[in-house]
Amino acid sequence: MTPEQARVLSDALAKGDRAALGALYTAYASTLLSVVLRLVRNRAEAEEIVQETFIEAWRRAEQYQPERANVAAWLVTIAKSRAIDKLRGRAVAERAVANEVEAPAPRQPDEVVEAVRSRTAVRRVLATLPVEQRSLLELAWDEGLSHTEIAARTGLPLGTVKTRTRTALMTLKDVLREHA
Amino acid sequence: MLVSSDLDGLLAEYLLGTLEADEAAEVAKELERSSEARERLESVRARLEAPPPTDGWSGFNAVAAWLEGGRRFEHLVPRLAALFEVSETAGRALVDTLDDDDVWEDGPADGVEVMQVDAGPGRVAVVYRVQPGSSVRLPRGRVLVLEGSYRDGQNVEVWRGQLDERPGERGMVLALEGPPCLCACVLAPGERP
Repeated sequence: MTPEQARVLSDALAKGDRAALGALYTAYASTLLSVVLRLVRNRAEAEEIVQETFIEAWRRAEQYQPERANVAAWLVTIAKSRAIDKLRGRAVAERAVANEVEAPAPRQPDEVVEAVRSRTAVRRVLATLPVEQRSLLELAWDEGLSHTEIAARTGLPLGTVKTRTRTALMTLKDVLREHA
Repeated sequence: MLVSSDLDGLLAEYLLGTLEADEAAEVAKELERSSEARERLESVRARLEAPPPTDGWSGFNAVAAWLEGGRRFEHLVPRLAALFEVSETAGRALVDTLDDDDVWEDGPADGVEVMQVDAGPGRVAVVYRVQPGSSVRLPRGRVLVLEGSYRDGQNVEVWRGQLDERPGERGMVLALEGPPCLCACVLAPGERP
């Protein structure tokens, strides 16, 4: 790929063109795999790192400066950084195993208790949501209505039903994660 | 002596200039010593310099699946939430709907659609979806480009992730080639979408 071709692709990537990321993947994934494999020595991990590299490139495309490095070198730098992070994580995990730090497997009765607690926690958090969000979730969960049916029942636009439902679900998830 | 399986990765980095100096020196020595290594270098160089592929999605399924839906906007959510003065959770819920055709209404011009947004108190906010080649006058206020890019009447280009503090003061904007331009706008007082 000539520098001009690479520049066109990196510009397209910066604008959010998914096909440009696909083209970069097809052009450079095997090269990145060779580079990463040399570091992590595990093909499955290396393939995962290559995929993460392209996702990272998507997120960071606006920061890429073509005059400082060509796009392949930029991708290699991201991939190596992620590989090194993976190696560090692996070292930590190995130390934990060596120290026999393992969580005991939960027993079945505990799992039942936990499931009941989770349901209770969800209901408790649900009660704290704004009524316009809570009522939509209750229509969906308690009456099994689809988004379209909820829109018809409430008179709200379908898009608003979807947005409010997603907002409510994400709030629930965040609060439950904090409780956990 | 280099291990054979290491060679392609090393040679690629050698050509790209991303090796440490001592590693690069080792590769250079190996290249002097071994005709096989030199042949491999040319093969790696050819791979790096090949024209961009046209079948861009080959072997790309996992990453392509990740790009579908709101996750591809994840890194822009904090900026969007700050612009609209909503929580990041609400911002995330908003970007999750952007690929949903049901949330878009016809906009003020051909190729332009608009989505009303529940923003912070006292704020009027919308998102425009402008097809490449279409033009629209953005309202005065502030605009965060979530995807795509546009050029305004003074030839200023605004790309994905950039905040335009003065839209509507430089004439119509033209959505540039690429994906549809998604513009998250907070309107100045008195402005209408």
